[in-house]
Amino acid sequence: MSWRRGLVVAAVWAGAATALAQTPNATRGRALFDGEAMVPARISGQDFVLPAAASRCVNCHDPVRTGAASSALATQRVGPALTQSALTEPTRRRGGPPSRYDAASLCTLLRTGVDPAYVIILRTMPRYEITESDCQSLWLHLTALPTR
Amino acid sequence: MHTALSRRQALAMMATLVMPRAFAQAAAPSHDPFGPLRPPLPSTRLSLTGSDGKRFELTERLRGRITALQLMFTGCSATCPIQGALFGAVAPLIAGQGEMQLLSISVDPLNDSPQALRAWLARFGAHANWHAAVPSVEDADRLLDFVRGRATGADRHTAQVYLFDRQARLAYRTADMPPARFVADLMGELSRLR
Repeated sequence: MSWRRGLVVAAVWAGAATALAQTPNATRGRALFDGEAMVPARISGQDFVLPAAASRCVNCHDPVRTGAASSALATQRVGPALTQSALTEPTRRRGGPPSRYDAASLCTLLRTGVDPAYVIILRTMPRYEITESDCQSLWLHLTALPTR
Repeated sequence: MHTALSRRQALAMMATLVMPRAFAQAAAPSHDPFGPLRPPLPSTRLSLTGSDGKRFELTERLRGRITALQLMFTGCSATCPIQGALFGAVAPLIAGQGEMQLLSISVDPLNDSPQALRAWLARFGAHANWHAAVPSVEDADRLLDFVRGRATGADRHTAQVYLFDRQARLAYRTADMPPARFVADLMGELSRLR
């Protein structure tokens, strides 16, 4: 194989690997939830990016797990458990009218702090600079969690 | 987003810190949840154990230094990591200024050991001017009362930063979760007061 052909093959492989990594999937969503994958985030009004240890979802939201795969991560459950039913069934949140999430409104909330009923969430929750792909991955992970 | 204090903001803050009594009476009282305390409030005496295992007294540690103090506990997964990240961001801004110190004090004396405090500091980037300590059980309540640091909810404490002057007096309470630059600038302003 000539070096030119080798370069082309390497580029195709790299492109395929990148595309695979960017394809939304629940495994990536779980890594984001647990803080194993980093998303830039900051508290509204603060001037520094939080480390993953301070911005991961599991710090405040109970990690409901399937089967025996329970999380060893400690959590204080100061935020609601994020299950499919909790997210997608009409629910009054923060004093607003009943609302439900879909992938798009979850992304809006993560980026801006505005929920589906146009109520602003607590400042304690970071605002995330999350990509569309990662947001879809997180949604896939959360909506795969069992109802309880 | 907040960055460095503007000249006007800095002058206004200096004015609140050094304001004569007649003006101070017309200003917001010191029981406000945040802002300058007029007059500054002398620290209460508390016995603490540092992350190095050594015991010390709070007022003695504060005297002669400009101190930013926060409440936390290592088992807190919600706001305390944000507190740690905040001081981790303030620490480089005060690097090399030996009279300035950051002090993270646990409100969970039953569970927080010097070892746990060391691990917590390391998680957010230990720094020479950043220390952690835990009070005795009875002193934890006294500390919460002194700084007015109680809060409802799982965390039990505010996410404010409490600033002390060289005379070991509480001079300023920030709002919850202030910007790092704001804390560093407040410390700078306090250091210029003699």
